[in-house]
Amino acid sequence: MRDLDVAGPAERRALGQLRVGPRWALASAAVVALVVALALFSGLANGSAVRATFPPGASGGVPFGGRGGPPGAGFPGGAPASVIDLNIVAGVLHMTTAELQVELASGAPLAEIISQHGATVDQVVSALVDQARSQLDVQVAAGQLSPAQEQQLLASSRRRLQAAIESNRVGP
Amino acid sequence: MGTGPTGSRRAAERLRAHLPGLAEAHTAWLLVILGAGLAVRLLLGSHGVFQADAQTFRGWATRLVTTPLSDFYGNGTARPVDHLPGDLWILWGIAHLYRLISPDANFQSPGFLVLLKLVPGLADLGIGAVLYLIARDLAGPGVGLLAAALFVFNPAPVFVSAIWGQWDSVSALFMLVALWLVLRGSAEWALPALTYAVLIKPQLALLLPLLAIVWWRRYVQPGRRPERGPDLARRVRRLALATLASLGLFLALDLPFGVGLPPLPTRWTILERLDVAWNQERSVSANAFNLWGVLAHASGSRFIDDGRVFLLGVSYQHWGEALLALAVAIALVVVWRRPDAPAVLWATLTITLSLFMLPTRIHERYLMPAVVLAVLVAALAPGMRWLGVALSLTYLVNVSAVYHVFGRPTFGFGVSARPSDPVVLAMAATNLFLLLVVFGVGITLARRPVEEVDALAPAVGDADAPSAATAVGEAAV
Repeated sequence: MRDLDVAGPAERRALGQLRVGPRWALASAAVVALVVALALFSGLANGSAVRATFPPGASGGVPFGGRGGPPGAGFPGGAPASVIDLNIVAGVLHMTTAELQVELASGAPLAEIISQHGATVDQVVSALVDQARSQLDVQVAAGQLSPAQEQQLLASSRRRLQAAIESNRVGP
Repeated sequence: MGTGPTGSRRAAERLRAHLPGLAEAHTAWLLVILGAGLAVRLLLGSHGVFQADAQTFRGWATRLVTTPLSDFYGNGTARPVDHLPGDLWILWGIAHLYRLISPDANFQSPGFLVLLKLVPGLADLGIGAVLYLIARDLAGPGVGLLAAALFVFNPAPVFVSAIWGQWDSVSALFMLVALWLVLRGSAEWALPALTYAVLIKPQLALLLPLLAIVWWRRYVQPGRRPERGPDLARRVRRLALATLASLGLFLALDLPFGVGLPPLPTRWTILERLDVAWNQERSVSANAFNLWGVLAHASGSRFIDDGRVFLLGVSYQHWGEALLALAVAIALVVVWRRPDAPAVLWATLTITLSLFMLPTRIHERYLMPAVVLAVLVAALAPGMRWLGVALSLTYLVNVSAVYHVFGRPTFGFGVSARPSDPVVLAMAATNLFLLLVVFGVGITLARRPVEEVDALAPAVGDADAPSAATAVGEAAV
């Protein structure tokens, strides 16, 4: 066995120094409490200067902006309602998800694939938005989202889905 | 180094002569732990997956076997590929393997999912094995087994690898191998290992300055002033060779994908690929329960663009970067003062934890390297066991929350497991507390007199001699 270079016998004993004193732990807890209190009561993070660009996300309790990459299909920072579900797209196009993936992998833009299969981008977007609506309805029923917020999200999602497909920011 | 007390070595030899089976017993127990860990992962692997990520992997696998590698980053993928070539090569390997054994051309069958999950599962076991080696050399084989078991059976990594199906443990394994090499006196050869880790998770490049400082303080300036030891020339030659090897590895992995270093005339530079990866996400936190999780949650804001002003006219992004730079600087100062094993372990933990806690745009899964280090520290230092437990717990809550909200689960705690907002806030605040506590440990370490640390510096060049730690470990056997 080769030698330990950085770890000598005294350093082994020094492993016992890897500990924290109760006073530091208490001070750390106090600092965290202060940060939380400041954020809660001072409007530190949601003042006008930092108001969210996007409407409240449909993230069902995870509050930071939805699921983006890496990796994952959808919008960076978008809500789930904006995620392109290839299963749904394939359903609209009357093809299997695998077939759709192969066509995407070949480099064809999604808008072109949609057109080649006799559908329109609007039809695909509507199907995706319908799926998003069914997810959001659950949250509205649970009181996690207001109906107005749901409509706002769906409208936003429709715009973003349309733009994503037309600018070929979908998949893989 | 040759610092091992001969008495301990003789005791170890006597013990081994009387009880020859015990050394093998530890190896056998390690194999039992790793085998059981593999069984757990295989059993759970058939339940659930993060669908969006799996679809992405399938799409990339399809592309890796149907198009030239030089076109992989091209326009064929509608969403820009945000991974560097490090793990794409592994995906390339299993995609080709799968094509050999399956007629399924589209990687949709459960068989490919098994392969996808096998990669992080095996990486988990590799981490367990390396944790055993590090802890065994530092504190004996019993502690080595404890470290391996704490990670292999840790619910958080099991969840990420076996249920979610993500590969975070792969880069963590290469990072840990680099740390192991540093502790074994081969800081130079840690460089290629860390290079591979960086080609999977580029943020781990922040460990490179730590490596440089350890090398300098151990081999160039073990005392207060620079001094040329008799073996410095040999160390410099090794460093030059390792640097060349790292550069060669970098180019060998990147050039086939059309990626190179400026001014090489490649289709993309590594900086362009990093830019793509970095700009996939612009929110203050990509679901990581970190500092920005505390602020974003507490504010009630569900999405905050990190380019917006936070305080004093400075954006969230730049605040995060500044805090991270400060944290790394503190870690480096401590290691400069005492480049011994406890400080190196602490600094690695501090940097990896800070990488999760302080910058913006961080994903929930990125806590994995810090969990690996926290488990190691927990095994080595009984006073820090609670840190390993707490960090593992918050990691598990974070990844399972995101999985259940976004992952369309088919297995797990179900929809009811979606975290309520107070839970999110509590977990993020707990992580912040743990970060501060870790810094407190660093202050304790830094207060130790420099002279005492310098006295621990080994003589360079006797790396083949048995060490005291080894001898003590053997005596424990």
